[in-house]
Amino acid sequence: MAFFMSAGTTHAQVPVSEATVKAAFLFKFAGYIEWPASYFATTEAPLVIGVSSSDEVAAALEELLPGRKVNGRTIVMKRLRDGEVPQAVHIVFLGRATRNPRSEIRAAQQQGALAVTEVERGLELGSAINFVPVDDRIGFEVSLESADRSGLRISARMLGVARKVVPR
Amino acid sequence: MKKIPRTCSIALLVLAALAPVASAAKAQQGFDIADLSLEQLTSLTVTSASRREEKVIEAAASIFVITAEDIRHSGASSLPEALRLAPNLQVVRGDTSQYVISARGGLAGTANKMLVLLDGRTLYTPLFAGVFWDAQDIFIEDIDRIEVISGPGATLWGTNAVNGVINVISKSSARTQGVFLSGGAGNMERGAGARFGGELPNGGHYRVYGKYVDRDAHPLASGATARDSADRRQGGFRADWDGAVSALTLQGDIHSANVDNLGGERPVSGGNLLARWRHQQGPDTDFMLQVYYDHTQREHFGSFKEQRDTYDAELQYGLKAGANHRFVFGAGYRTSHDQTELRPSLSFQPAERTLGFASLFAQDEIDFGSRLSATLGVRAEHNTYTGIEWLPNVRLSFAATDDQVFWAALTRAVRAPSRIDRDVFVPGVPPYALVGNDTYGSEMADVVELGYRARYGDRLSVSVTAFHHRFRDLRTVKLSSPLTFGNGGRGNTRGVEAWGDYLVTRDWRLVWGFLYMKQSEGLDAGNAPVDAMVLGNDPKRTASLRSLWHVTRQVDFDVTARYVGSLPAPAVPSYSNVDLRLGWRVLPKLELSLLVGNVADHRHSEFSTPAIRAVFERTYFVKASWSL
Repeated sequence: MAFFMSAGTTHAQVPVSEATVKAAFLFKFAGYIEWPASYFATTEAPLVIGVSSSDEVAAALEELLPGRKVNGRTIVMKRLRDGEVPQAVHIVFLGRATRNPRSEIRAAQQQGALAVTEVERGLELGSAINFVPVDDRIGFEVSLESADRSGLRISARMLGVARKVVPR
Repeated sequence: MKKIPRTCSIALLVLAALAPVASAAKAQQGFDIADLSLEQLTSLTVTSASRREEKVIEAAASIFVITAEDIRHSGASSLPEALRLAPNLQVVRGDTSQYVISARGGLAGTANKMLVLLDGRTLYTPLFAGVFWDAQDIFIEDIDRIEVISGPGATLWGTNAVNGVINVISKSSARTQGVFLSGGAGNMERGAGARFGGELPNGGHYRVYGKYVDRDAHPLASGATARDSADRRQGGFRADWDGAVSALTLQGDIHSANVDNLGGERPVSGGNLLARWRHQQGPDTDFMLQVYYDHTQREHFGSFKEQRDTYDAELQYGLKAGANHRFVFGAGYRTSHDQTELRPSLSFQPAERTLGFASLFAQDEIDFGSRLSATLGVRAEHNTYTGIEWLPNVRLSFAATDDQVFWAALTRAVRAPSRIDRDVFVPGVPPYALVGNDTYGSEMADVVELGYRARYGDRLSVSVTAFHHRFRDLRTVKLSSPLTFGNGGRGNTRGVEAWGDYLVTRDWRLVWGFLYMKQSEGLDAGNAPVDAMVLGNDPKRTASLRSLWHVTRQVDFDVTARYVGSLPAPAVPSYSNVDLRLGWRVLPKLELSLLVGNVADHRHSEFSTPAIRAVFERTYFVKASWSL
């Protein structure tokens, strides 16, 4: 019914692919998260987004990232195999097809990386950010508890946009 | 469904020209998604190529969405031709510029039970409650999508949304930046168009466009000319300021056309200006205000001349209450003033008239949890002729799984009287043979619909709707002297419409559609049908199959096959059509395409009587489109 309603109004926007929007979110998130300086090898070291089990989001990031910077750092994408322990990665995106998300999330946290998922009850599995469908749009929810476990701080501006925030 | 090449629409190919399929999402936007704020990202509507009905799946209505990609693959160069892509519409073409478009029957020269909107502007005229399709066009490549709802949508859209709603939505100007040129020529038409998009201060964007098309006359069955050549010019603009919580749109168009006709030439022109402001107040409430002005004028030599000015204002407020309710409230007012001139064969008395339409509606979408939801709504609409009409609807939907939805709807819809029903005099001067009826009332329809929509995996989707429209008080001719209009007709239309989508491979998609209808009709004593049929001159069956194939990253090959059953009276034989399109992206930003229309049945007519209907023969069209 949601769509029926939207048909009644007259907004006009080219629908974009889910993967493209998620890629844009991942890029944006990087700007709202504070990593301890020690998480980067040098002051110029790039910020790395690891992507596991989602070719679509990886491809979308490949298109989106070149030439962009976040807080003065270049930002790059690294494809991860399912089950691979992420090394020197700052954000880990686990696609829907991830076989064992709980352990992948834990591995990410131990590396001090921010774990992002796209499954129902993703936060309960332990991720810090979970994408959720909102009618025909995409929203996200945040767990400060999980971010804490990775040793990360999330800006209040980002929390204002989240659908749901799980406190520490 | 898919349509034919006939025109030169120009930039159909811009999307393809920009990028191969894989990166189509980015290319289509024409703006950089990474520059959007988090708030803006959460407000983007998403789709995915393999599951184009993702959003539609939950709608408790028979809705088909024609996407920009569908239109590009069809080669359609005009709005009516693009509408052939919807399996839940019947589109018939009388001649070059004259179309009759309806859903679930109702095809008639004065088809009057569809509500048609272009970016929120109502296209049907209160003159006869139908659409003069010869006056409607758009820069085809600017279409974002067309939402086609078969069945009533009266609660949200108002009177006239009896058999269906067509909602044409254009892209935001932020997505049409840069220069785009297109032109083409073929055996039946030639045309060219240009669009330019740029940035405005305060984060705004704009586009301006112009197009020209020149179409040739078709023959009649007798071999004589149908005198239906037409040439048309149109230009316009759109500007958008999209903020995080508010968005403002301004847009306008002007057009003029010379449409030839067996009855004499028909100069047609018009223009419009629209402003829309949307405001999102937090996650739970949104607000929309829209105002527009529309001017049209036309003369059908010998029969009538009309000049019309319409002002319209609409307010809409959406509110989420608790976890289970989403309310929408709306109010609108439209005033339409016309000036007609007496002609020997027809006149309107009074010659000038202002019609007002005021409406209020409220609707609640209730989520009962456990996958069951309901929509309850009612609209009260006041019109100058019959006063208040009540338009209620109840819709239920049950999501058996995430990918399967059953829905049902019960609706009342009304077709309010138009100028022609009340005020027409034929001929224009006494003695009259037929006069409008001062007490002519509204036509009513009670509609029951049952639907099923499902997705099987990522590749296959299907939608099936069974419907029963029970009409009463339909327009008839009362056998008095002089004749007048009466509400002496009734009828039933029952049927099934179905369509589906099959992604055979990543590069090859099949879309099929099917409609079967059974109609029965009756007349009160002393009444006769206006046309031969009370409900409409409708085919019992239509079917279509489209094949959209990306042969390589540079080459598309598209085939559309379409079957339309015979029409009873005036009789039109059934026909099958095949249209082909070959698209070649010579350079990333330059596309050439070849369109061949009516490959299989290369001589057919679609509507009206043999004496005046055009015969459509094979068409060829070569087109180039270039984005700089």
